[in-house]
Amino acid sequence: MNSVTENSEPKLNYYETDVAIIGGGPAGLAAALSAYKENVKVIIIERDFELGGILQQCIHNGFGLRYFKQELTGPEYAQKFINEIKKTNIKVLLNTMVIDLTADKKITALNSEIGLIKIKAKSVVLCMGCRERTRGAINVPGTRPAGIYSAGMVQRLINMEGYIPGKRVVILGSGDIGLIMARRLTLEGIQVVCVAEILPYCAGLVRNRVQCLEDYNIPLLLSHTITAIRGKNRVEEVVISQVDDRWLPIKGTEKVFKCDTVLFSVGLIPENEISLKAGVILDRTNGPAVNEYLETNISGIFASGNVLQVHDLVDWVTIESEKAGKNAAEYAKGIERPSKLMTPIKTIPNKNVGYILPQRIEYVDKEKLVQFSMRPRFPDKNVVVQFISKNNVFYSKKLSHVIPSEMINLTVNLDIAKLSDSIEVNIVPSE
Amino acid sequence: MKKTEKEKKMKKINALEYGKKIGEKKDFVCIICPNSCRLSAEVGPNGDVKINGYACQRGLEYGTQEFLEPKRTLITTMRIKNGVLPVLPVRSDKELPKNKIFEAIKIINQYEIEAPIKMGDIIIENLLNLGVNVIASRDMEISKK
Repeated sequence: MNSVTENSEPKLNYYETDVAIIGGGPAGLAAALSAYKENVKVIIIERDFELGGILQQCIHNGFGLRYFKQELTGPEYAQKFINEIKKTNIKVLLNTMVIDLTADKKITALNSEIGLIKIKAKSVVLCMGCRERTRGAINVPGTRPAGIYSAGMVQRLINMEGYIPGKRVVILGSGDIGLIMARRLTLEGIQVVCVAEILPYCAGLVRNRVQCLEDYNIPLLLSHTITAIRGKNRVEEVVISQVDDRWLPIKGTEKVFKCDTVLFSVGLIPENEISLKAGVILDRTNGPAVNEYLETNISGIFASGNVLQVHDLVDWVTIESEKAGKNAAEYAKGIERPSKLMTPIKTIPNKNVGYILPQRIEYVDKEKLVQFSMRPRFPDKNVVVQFISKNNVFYSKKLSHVIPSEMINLTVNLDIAKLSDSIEVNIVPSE
Repeated sequence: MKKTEKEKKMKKINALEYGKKIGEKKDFVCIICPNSCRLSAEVGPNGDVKINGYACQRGLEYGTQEFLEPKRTLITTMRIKNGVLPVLPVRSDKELPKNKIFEAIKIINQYEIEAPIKMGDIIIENLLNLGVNVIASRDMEISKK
């Protein structure tokens, strides 16, 4: 039991709330507003000095086409939500880092000015987002000089803090952040020597490859990776080698590129340390496994946005988080759900499906429309997404193309009576 | 019907006015949607533009524009005094010709503005006489420090 209460330690900052939102990025903002619309008390806890999260450093455009039906920059997308938050009495705790969460929804947080904060919530939405994989995560050999960054960190340095990280840059990884940073660096007068990608295809969206690399004649080396970083105090050069189909460097293909800076854009990991403290079980996504209410295995703890699954479009983060926020508010109000299934129905990602969300269906509704999201393992064309249960394809959807960088979102009407305890999902060639 | 009228109208464009030569060709990828259609553009004998490979009207419009005069939204930051951050993200309110981007950035880099700023505030009017304004992408409040 937690011995700290309002009475025993009057100096302690203590809040009681209906819904607590951990993280004030795009997921947290949408979840908070949607919970607030259900007439409940909402607190947002954000570790940065302002709301908006990663959007504040993503100054490029291309956000909001689906949700707002207009093309916005990241800061504009965030500002629209921040302006809405300002009209409410949602409590916003800035510069506040959550350090603990329990299964009974008690939150411990730290603030550099007011110190320790305790929050007791009826429900919680996890909106912590994700962080970047680093050089260490992919074991790139070489020395450890200055000039090695993750791409998102440089994005923040340039776009928010006004620093220039170097003069000649090599980027590893052709994900969208890597591509966008190639353009951004070029516009700031920094030379981008090349972008190396271990996959045989560009990992980011085609529009980013065209607008960020081809527009500025930046070479993209496919099936290549960095096999050494050299330099004593500062990066002096990198060695880039071609790789075979097992991603192993091919001897004799090494090329040396002079540069003073290396950017790693090699993937994102949902940030779930706090979730784990509460006993939340994670899936192969590295995010919580959730039911159709976006609720984790811990009753009343929900998750949405990049902490749940790494998204490619913020619009889907918003749509997902609005659902999580509403569900968390209804939980806090004690609104009853339809009857629970004896055994949850598991969703199983099978042929060319990297993962599928939600991981389980737990409740019986009359009209059971469930929003599923998934990613293919590899690119393909003219495919059909099949949902199979009891050896019966009960839903199928034709798609002209699929690629891992684009999430597939499908709304499926489930007739629970016709399903077994599992749903297998395949992406297979259409006949 | 509407489509064909639009297509006819687009074919009246004289590519020679855009500095293109008769017979000039270009292959590129359409970026309007994830279908990523492979487009090929060619200037016909009368200076008309033929686009092949598009699957929709938007693709045809993009292909024609991209071949004749590629345009992009300008996105960058500029220095700001007394703000909670030292730089303010800004963008052009319309697209401008791609070949003017570096020139435009040079102009923007000469400015230093002062907080507070509201999202959508016009920071620079009629940049390079292109009929395009530079606007703020976010609010920037005064730093209390």
